[in-house]
Amino acid sequence: MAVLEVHELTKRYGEGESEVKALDHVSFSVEKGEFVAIVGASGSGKSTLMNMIGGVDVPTTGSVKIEGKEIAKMNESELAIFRRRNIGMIYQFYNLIPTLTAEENIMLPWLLDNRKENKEKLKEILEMLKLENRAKHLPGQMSGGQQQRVSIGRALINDPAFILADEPTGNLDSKTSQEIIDLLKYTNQKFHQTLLLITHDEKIALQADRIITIGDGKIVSDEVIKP
Amino acid sequence: MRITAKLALNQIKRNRYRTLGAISAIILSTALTTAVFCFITSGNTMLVSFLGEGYGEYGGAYQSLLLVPAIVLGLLIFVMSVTVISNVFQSSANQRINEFGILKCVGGTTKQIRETVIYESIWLSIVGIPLGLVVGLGVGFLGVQITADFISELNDLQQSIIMRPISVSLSFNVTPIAFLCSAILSFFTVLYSAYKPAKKAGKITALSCIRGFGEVRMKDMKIKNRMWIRKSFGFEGILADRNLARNKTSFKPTIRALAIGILLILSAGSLLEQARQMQEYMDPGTRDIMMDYASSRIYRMNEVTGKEEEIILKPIHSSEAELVTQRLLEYGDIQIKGIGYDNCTYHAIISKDYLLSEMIEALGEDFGQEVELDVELMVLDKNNYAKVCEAAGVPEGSNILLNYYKYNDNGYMKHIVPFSESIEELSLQKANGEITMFSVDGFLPEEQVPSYVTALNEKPIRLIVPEAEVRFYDWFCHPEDEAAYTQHARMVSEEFFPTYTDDSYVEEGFTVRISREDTMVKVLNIAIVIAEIIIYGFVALLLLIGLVSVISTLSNNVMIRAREFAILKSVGMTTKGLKKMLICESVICTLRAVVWGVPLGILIPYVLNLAIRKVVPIIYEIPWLLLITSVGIIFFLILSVTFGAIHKLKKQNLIESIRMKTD
Repeated sequence: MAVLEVHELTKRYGEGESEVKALDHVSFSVEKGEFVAIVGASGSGKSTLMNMIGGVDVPTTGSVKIEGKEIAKMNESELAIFRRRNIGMIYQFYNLIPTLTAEENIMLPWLLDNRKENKEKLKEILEMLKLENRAKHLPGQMSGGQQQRVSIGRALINDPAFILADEPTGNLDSKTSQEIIDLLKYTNQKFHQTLLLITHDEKIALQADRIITIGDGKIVSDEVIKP
Repeated sequence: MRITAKLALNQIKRNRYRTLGAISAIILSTALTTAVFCFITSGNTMLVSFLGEGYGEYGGAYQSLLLVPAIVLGLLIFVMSVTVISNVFQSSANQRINEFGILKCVGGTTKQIRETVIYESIWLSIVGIPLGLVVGLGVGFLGVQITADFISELNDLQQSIIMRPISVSLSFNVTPIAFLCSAILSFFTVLYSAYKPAKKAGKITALSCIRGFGEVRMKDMKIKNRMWIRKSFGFEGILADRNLARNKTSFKPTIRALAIGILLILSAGSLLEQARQMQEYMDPGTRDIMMDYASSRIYRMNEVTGKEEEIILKPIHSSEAELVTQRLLEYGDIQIKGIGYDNCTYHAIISKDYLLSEMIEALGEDFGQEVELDVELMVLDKNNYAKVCEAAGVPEGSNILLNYYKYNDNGYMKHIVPFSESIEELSLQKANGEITMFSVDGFLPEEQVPSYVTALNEKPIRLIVPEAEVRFYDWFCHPEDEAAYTQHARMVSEEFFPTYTDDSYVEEGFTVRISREDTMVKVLNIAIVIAEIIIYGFVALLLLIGLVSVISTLSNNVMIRAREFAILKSVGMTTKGLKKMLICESVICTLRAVVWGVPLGILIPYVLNLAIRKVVPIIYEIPWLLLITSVGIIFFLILSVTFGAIHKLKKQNLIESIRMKTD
């Protein structure tokens, strides 16, 4: 069953002569549990694609369906709640709230939902991320790798339909980068979670089940490397 | 605790300087509101004890006296507070853009983003409003005490004017309801101030977080190259101008607060200056002891002529007044100047041929060959009448026309010679149609008219006659021992006029008072001093609120631009150049505040003066000294706050600053 269906997705910026096509009729689908790497050079349109899938940007034409629901048809509030419960997002610069502790940052989607905290689930995630000793620390008191693990925890806490990771290792050294990728692969296998990873690092991309290459806003290739 | 409340609390803890600024603004705003409430409740208690519940006959007027200034002051507090507090929240929200973006990315709704800004205002109110209430009580207490001292001084003066022992006392009084109202109003002001930034914050898209840091976005900004800036400040000036254009939104409330400051200083200064001029205008210049007799009058419509006539109930005849004069002179080595006048009985119809051109111009109306003019019939004590006759070159027993007329020509006091000396007689007519002919035996030009004969509002025709029944009679004296003479005068007054000790004189149809000539001026002076204390105290506190905004915005602006400054330095800009750029920013900021504040600060008192000058000859003059001082202070303020913030930046490492995120 396709968790994600992207159909004829196009995004244009500007008008007339200054018009830029960031995405040009992009179509693909992702099955549940798949680990897909989206690769491309800088400015190829991969981040724009991720923003469209994450529902933080609006396509010019085309559609994005997550678990059969077209996100463009949702209003702002519905989309925010949908994103909170169904999509886990991981960014290059971690994007943690600097005034909240590691565990509060992880629990943020719950807290926004006014849900009672599930201590067991939180403990499980903290242990998996090896952050038990850092739970009460603020982001500013942690290393880049630890901060990225917190953001992974935040993405996992709600058992989302899939995880979107935009250059999650772009700000980390090679050793920490591999640790993060291993962690993502582990969660992908353990929770049978769909993972969409955007990277320009070929070595990292090769660890995925499938690689979609984007160039000039179009899909250049779509290869399954680990069937 | 809800996550939105917690995030707001964290933000408050994180930015101590801004929190301090916001709390200071809330304290000052609440304090001002509370102080105004203290004045209203204390004033209300004073009026109720003096006039009774409902303020008696003129209840509406007294209510307006309290409520109108309260509403005006309340509105000013609201506008200034909203401008300043809103700016602090906006600045805080701007700093939290990244946080809002993250919240949106992880599923935060617009409502939740708004909520977190509103929570910030609630947390700050919890601290600021109670403190403001306490400070307000202190300010109100102090203000009421100072005013109360002046009011007790007014009591003594008023008694000599209205012939009634009065004891108006102002004491500090604040009711729980007023206290509660002040707290509610202040809370509403803070919530309202936070609403706009909250709404704006809710509109921030998740993309603004994802698109990265340090990205410069300039929306629809027209690039201008102002020649005067380039010539005066060089390239640094252009940078400053562009920066102000880029940060228009954050500078706007600061400029508004500064402009309101200039406006308030200029308006308050100009209005009080006009009050001072009014006091000078009313000042008779002499400090004589005056005993004055005034008859009551009634108005009625004359059935025969259909004209409204004034009936003098108890006129005093010049011969009786002369007896009083002689009796007063018995005090010893003094001079008495006695003058009686009736300015409500007669009018004269005079031919245009007797009017000089300046008088025709002064009368201004379109009239035919004849004009009807009001008449003031005057009598003097025997001695002074003789002197006046001598000055006019006529024998005693003559009628003398004062040949000058002074009038308020739309703010300017004009002195003119009104009549041709060919007038031989005047036909004076009463409202009942009765005509009396008065011969004009002599003329007295202005320079020969004794000063005690002049009055504030004079009638066009003033005729000194040897004897007449008049409505008013004043006896002026300048004794060495004022107290002893006053006692003598009181004795004479009781001897000639029935002994009444209070305002039941009025019921008898006349009043007799003994007072110093400048009593009214003193009353006005005290009123002006009270107004000065209240207005300047209010303006000072309001300006303090504005100052919070200026300090908060400018220092925050410098901190936010640390990265920009570091980049400029890294490409070779010297510290001198950086300072030059900031001086230029301060100049442009001041100029923008001046452009709004000065014209309005001139226009408002000028418009008020247009109404005032119709009544008294007072002209509005631009208060140059006040203007230059206020503009200078504002420029110095902006510059010192900016340089203070720059000084803090010196401790930061250049590379660290360049690498820092905008938050």
